[in-house]
Amino acid sequence: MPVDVDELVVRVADICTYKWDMLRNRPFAFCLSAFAGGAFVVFGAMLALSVSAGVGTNLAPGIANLVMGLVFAFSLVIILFSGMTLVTADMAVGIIGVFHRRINWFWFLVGIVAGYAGNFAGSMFFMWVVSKGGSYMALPWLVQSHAIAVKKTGMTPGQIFALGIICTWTLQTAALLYVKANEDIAKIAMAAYGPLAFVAGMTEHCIANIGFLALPLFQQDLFLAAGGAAASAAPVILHWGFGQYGWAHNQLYTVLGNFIGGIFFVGIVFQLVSNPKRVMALYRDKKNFMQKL
Amino acid sequence: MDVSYTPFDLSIWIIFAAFCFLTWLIVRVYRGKYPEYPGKSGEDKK
Repeated sequence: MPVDVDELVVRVADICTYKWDMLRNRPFAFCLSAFAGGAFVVFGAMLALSVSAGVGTNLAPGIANLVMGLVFAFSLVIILFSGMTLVTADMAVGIIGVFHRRINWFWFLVGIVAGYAGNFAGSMFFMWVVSKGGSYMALPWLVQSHAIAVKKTGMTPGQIFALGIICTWTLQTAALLYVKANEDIAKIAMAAYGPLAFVAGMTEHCIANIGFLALPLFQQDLFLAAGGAAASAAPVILHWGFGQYGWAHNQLYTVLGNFIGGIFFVGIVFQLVSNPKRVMALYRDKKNFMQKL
Repeated sequence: MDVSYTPFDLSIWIIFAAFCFLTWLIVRVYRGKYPEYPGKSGEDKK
């Protein structure tokens, strides 16, 4: 049986203590776990690109989203089972830790910044390696990765922001339900639901987008040389900056939206739904205040 | 519709600032209502 929401917030607070204790006392290990977590997310991005290239929209507009979501689903499973760091998960975990006085606001922010930096490095590095892989230099994959990036970077700030909120709302709900579940099968199902929902739901996740958008930028010369602009429905030149079709444009508003979705609509909601008197009763009998994922 | 692709989209930054303030306020009110919450581990680690 899964635990109830009162026990859940206590478990999440224990995970928060473990993660921030690692940050304080073993910062290199924390950064390494964030690097691995960032790479794990874009394992899914690579697979999503791999299976969705050439899937025709005349078949059904949502089919490509579905197949992308299905192969992306295991990204969160491998992150949570391995105990690696994902900054968007830490947003929800950290705010519950703040309620439970496990960390203060300063350390909450330090954890988010450090987690993002490590995830950024892992995601970017993995996609740089993928960009050197021959399979992804063929035209269907060059066109598909470019089309994904054009769609993501071409949206207005408000559109990206709204999809960023929805993304972590679904993803972190799944992450907390992973903690709530006790059996491995239930944990796998819960963790897989998150990425499936946010990818098939066409939302925006900051760490996934680091890789999704970096790959076509790393390969843009190849794309243009291979005649991708002629084959693509949207022959647009991507760039790293803040303007339309820029990597930073998407990243900025995705991060802001992810913050609100993970903290406000998941962490705070679960915390406020829990019964404070029952949580305090659980603490009275508590011996161990740290839990690994 | 006139859309600006700027990193300083005022409406979004205002929403984000409001979210930050509201989050801080909720935690503060919660701690005010339950000053002993959650119990024996109830200390901010510095």
